[in-house]
Amino acid sequence: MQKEIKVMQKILNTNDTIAQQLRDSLTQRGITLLNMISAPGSGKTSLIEATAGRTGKRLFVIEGDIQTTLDAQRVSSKGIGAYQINTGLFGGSCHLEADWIRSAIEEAGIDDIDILFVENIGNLVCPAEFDIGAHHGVLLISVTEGEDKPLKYPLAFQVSQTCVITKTDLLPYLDIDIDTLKQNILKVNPDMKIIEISTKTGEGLDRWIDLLDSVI
Amino acid sequence: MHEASIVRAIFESSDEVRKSEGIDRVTRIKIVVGGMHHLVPQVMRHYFDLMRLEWEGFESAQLDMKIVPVQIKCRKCGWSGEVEPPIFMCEQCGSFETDMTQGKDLFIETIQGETDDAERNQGNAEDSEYQ
Repeated sequence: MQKEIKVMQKILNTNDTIAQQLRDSLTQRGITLLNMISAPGSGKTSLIEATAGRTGKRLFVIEGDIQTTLDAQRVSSKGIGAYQINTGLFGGSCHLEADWIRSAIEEAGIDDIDILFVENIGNLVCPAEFDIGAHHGVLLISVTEGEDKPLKYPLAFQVSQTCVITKTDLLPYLDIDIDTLKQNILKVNPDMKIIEISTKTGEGLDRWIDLLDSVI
Repeated sequence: MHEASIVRAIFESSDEVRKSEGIDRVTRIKIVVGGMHHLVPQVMRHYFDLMRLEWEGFESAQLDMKIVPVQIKCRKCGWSGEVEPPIFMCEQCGSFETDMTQGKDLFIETIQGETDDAERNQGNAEDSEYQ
C-alpha cells in the first residue's frame, strides 16, 4: 500500500541542534567561538597569529584542513593553544560540522579561555551551509581576490557578521577598487561590519582587537 | 562536495520517519531547497544514488528537489518580492537595505513509501504530525 508522510523537517536539524547546544554551553563557560571563513590563503592563520601579541585575552584555535598540521604548528609557535582537525578522515570534507567541533573541544580539553577561533576549511561555498555553534562569523577576503567575490558567494557573506579585508599593504600593486568591494559586501549583507587590515604592516589591527573586545 | 553531508542527513532523518511510520520501502523523498543554497541537483542525485544502497528500505528511492525563489523585503519602503541572487535590491526604491524572507529553506517536505503489512495501513497519512 502506498503512503505519503508529511515531514516538514529541516535537513540539517541534527547539526543545528548540536550547534545550539554547543553555543549555549560555551556561553555558560565564558568562551566566545568565532567561525573564520575564507578562501584558501586569505590570511586566517596570519590574523590569528597577529592577534596573539595584541590582546590579553586567552586564545585557542581549532584548525580545519583537509591535510597536514601545518597551521596548528604555526599558531602553536606563537604560544597559542591549537588543535588540528584533518577532514581527510571524513572523506576529505570541504567544511566543518558542529559535532566535530564539539568532539575537538572535548579531546583538546579546551577550558579557561576567552576566545576560541575555528579556522574553517578554506572555501567560500560549503562552510556557509553549516552552523558550528559560533557566536560570531568572520569572513576574510584578501585584496588580491577582486571586487566580485561577495556577488559570487553571497551565502558566505550573509551568514557572517564581520568582514575583514586583508593584505591591504598590497593595494598599491593591484587594480582592485576597494570601494567597489565594500559596496558589493554591503549589497549582499547591509549589516556587515567591515575592517581593513594588513598583518604585514599592522595597519587596522587595532580595529580588529576592538571588534574582538566588543563580541566577547 | 558538501552535498554528500546534506544527502547523508536526508537519509538519517528519513530513516527515523520510515521506522516510526512502519514504511517497508521508501519510493520518493521530496525536499525543498531555497535559492540561496549552493546545491547542485546532479551532484545531490549522484550521492543519493550511491548512498541509498547502504540504507535498508531506501534501495529504490528517488529524490525530488523543489527549488524555491529568493524573496526579500525592503527596510526603507516595505516592498517585498522575488529577486535573482546576488542582486538583493528593492525593485521599487533601489535600496540594498533589505531582509531575506525566503531562500534559505532546506527541509524534507514529504516521504512516500509502501507498506506490506495490512494492519499497519489503517492509519491516515494526512493525520501525521511532525516537527
